[in-house]
Amino acid sequence: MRKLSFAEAMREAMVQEMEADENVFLIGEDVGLFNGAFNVSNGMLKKFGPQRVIDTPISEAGFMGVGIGAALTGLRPIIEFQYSDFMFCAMDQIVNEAAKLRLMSGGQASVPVVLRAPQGATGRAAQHSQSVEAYFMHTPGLYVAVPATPYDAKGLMTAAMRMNDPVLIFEHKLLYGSASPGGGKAKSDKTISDIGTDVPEEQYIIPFGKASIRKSGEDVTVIATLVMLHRALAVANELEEEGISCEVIDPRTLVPLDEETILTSIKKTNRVVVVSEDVCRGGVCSELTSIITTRVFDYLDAPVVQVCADNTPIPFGPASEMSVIPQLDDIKGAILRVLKDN
Amino acid sequence: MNARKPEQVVTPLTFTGIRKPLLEKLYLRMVRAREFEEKLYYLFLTTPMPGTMHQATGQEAVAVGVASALKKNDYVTSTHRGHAHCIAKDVPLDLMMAEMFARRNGVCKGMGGSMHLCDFSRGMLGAFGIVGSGIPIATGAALSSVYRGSKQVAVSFFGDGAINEGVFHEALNMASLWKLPVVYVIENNQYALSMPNEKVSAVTDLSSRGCGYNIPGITIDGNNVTEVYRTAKKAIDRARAGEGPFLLECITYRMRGHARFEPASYRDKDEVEEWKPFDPIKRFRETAIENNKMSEGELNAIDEQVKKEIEDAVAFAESGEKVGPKDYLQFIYEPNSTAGGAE
Amino acid sequence: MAIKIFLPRLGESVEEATIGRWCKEVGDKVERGDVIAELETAKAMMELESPAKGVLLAVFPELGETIPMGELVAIVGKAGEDWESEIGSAKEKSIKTDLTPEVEKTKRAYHADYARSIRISPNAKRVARELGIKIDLIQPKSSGERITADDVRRLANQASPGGKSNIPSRKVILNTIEKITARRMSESARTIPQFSISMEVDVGQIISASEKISRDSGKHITLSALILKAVGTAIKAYPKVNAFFSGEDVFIYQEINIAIAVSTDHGLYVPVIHKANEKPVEKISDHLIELANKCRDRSLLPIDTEGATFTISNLGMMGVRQFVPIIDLSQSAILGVGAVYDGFKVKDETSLLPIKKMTLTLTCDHRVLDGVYAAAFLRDLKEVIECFE
Repeated sequence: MRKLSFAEAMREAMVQEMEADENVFLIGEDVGLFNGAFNVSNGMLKKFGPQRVIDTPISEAGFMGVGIGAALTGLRPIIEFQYSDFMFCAMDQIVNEAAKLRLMSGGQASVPVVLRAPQGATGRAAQHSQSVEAYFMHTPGLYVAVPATPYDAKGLMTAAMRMNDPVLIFEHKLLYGSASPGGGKAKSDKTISDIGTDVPEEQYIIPFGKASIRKSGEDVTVIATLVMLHRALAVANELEEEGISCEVIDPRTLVPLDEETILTSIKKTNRVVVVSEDVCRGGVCSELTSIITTRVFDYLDAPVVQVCADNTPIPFGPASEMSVIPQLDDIKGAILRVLKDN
Repeated sequence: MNARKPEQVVTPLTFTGIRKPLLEKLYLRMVRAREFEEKLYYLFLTTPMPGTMHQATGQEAVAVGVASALKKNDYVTSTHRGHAHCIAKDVPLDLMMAEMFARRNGVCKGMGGSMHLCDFSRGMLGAFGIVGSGIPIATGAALSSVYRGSKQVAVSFFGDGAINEGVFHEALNMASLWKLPVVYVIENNQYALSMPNEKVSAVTDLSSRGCGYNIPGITIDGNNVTEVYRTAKKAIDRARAGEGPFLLECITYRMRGHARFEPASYRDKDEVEEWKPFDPIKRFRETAIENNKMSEGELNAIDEQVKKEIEDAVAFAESGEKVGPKDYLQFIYEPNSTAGGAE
Repeated sequence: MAIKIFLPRLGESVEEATIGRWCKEVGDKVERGDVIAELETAKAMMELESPAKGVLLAVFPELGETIPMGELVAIVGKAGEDWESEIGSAKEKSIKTDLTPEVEKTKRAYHADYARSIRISPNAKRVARELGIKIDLIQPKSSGERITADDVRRLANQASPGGKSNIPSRKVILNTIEKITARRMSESARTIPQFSISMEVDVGQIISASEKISRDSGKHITLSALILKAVGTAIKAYPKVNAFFSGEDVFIYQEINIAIAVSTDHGLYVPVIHKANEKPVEKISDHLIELANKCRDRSLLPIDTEGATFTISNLGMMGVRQFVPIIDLSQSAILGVGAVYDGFKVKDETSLLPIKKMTLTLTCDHRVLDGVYAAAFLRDLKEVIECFE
């Protein structure tokens, strides 16, 4: 099977679905002429034309609303936000309209929009580095996916485009694996593994709510998303040499969350570390910890250990950024700590 | 006095180009809107009504004039003050009333209430509780119409308060850029809750804002239902023909407070009294009789018809089951989607 | 048809309003929309309009009165209409309740049963529960550490909690009753601070009484029955002897149900005589015999063994004069009754009288009562026995 990068897989998902369904279209800033700020929509304007690949003015709230209006009247827009940080400009439309229209209308309205955005800290300071999934995990009426591999990107995206409710897909900039036309190669993390790089040519879906056990183990369960999944795997492989057996789980979707896979694992290992790049306070780790502690309290031999970003806007200076964002050593330290926690 | 004087706004109500069946329709819809609002207004004193209402009393001509120039499948978005827009689009009174009573037989199954009334079978995409949020959505519906080649037009109703929301500017810019078939109707009732126009808008000639986006605009007497109809029809037909968006400002007056129990103490009672004679329904009646376009008997017959419709609507609403504790569960997401284990 | 006007909810956080001014009087004609009253709320002054055309038939609140949302304010209808009969009972006066929906309240149970002095992981507690091991028997791997499931399993795998001995032994498997007794006795010894006091009692009178009652009733009424009756009587004035300690409090039982220890070759039973203070001696005696038989042929019902508030243990038939019984869990005292034996009492400086004696021993929970209280109870009991009719 051929190998695709994350960006290529996401592109293929969009292209194939747009070929199959004439109602699907892409809209966002610089997605057409510029081929997308992270090159994901490379070639799509040429292939589908300006009616189906729409370059917008810088009007996030406006084009989010336009996307909703189109979705309410028969179309299936893919709305790209250039950075997930900019989704806040469209917050009212996402949270107050898209997420709620089905319920407020008593089922008359359906809002089949897919929102895609790159996120993650890459040295671009506080307003271009956030991980924002928690704000949307918290909003009922939305679905949230966090694909960490090319295979997952294509499968989850295809599923998303066929769902009739708003779906948010958060992509990590460091996982795209393809050069940004905006200037130079994207930073690469030496620990990004090539799991999930074999991508089938045909269309396929990964249903939401199904986590993936990336590595089986006995001693401790490690739950991690996006880039942190790759870092967790790197740490797990290293610890294996030292006789520590980690079970690494990739949730793939945060809403719905595959609680059963996670809890079954914890019943086996009795110790768990949760890892996410977003801010600790009220974040993904908090939600996971809350679910774990409520449902399998009696199976824990130690409190849940959380590895997440410090409660701070992300600083510019590289040393500070590294200190804020979870690194390999933080994950390793957490695993050792939970094993020794008596 | 914070509002304009009626004499500055009002223009003669004429009947050119409007045949009798349409005249009757215009009157019928305005009376329905008025009686619906008034009935509800007093129900709040005699019945435990859930929520509140934002009465559009006095503004009926704007909704009815514009919507009467639309086809059934044309799109409309509205605001928290949306009852008249729904009625003008012929959303059934009983379904609306039941929604006000939070009953399962309401148009939104009791899940949305007054501020979120909608009827997708009639292109009524929704009233919206967030000021201005319907503007880009109507713009998207217009984009969709062009995309699908369906020749539908979208109308976005919003007020003199919404025009200062950022999305108004974002939407108008895109509508003009892409020449979308959308007509933006500023229902200027001269107060954004407590704020008169000049307290919140640097430029109070609101339709002139279209210039900033190369969108033609005009300001008219919003209590003159035939004038509203004719102007709206021009704008709508123009949009449908692919000539792009239009900004139509209709000056009217909010006869009651902002919400049901908002007494509008910031307003002079005298100002309200000054605008009372320019009530759109009163003006239409008097002028129609004077010009022999409709007889008093015909008008009264419509009044009686509407009274009955409203009584029936209330009976329908009262007969409906109250929303139960778990009704909402089936409306959060689409049931049985690819999502698999959705909560 | 009279129309009732209720005070509406005037704002999201406005729950009441004051009648600032009546703008119409009872009997006035009103049009729909006419202002009937001015209402003052925390936020603003509002007008209360009439919802219909008619006559103002009645108003309810006084000028200046503050009324809550939902309260009936006025009635509008036709002149002379009999609105009172339409209004009906006070139930109609308020519509507030209609707006509060009925929602099932889910109750959340909070479990707080963990021993604060012991650090143990939730997983270990679950394993201990499943294996039937008491948490306080487990030691963590090193002191100060949390007990884990491994520690629990380690304990479970050992043959006995106290460690092995080198001398050969034969295992005897206890039956359920014996297991329960072992468990309860251990826990009682471990958790209740017990002390005992003894007193000698002259049983001549009560023995005569038992013989007399036996003659009169034609049945053999045992001494045990009379002693039980005496105890039931004496307990009335000493509630702490009929109680139990839990948490940090003492709970006094509101009934006097006396259990009698019955030993059989298949275990020790403690059947109960309920409301011993109210039953006549004959009934007690019959019941005792019945219970003893049931013990022997294992036909005791739950009702026979539940609800004991005090226990009597009697080893007199074995010739034991005095012994210290162990309190039954869930009680605060137990009375040990010894054998009847010959003794003397001092009559005067030169002579002794032969009497029949018996030694009673009361073991008590020191958290519930002290020695003085216990002694007072025994002294009273002694008097009841020595003066028994």
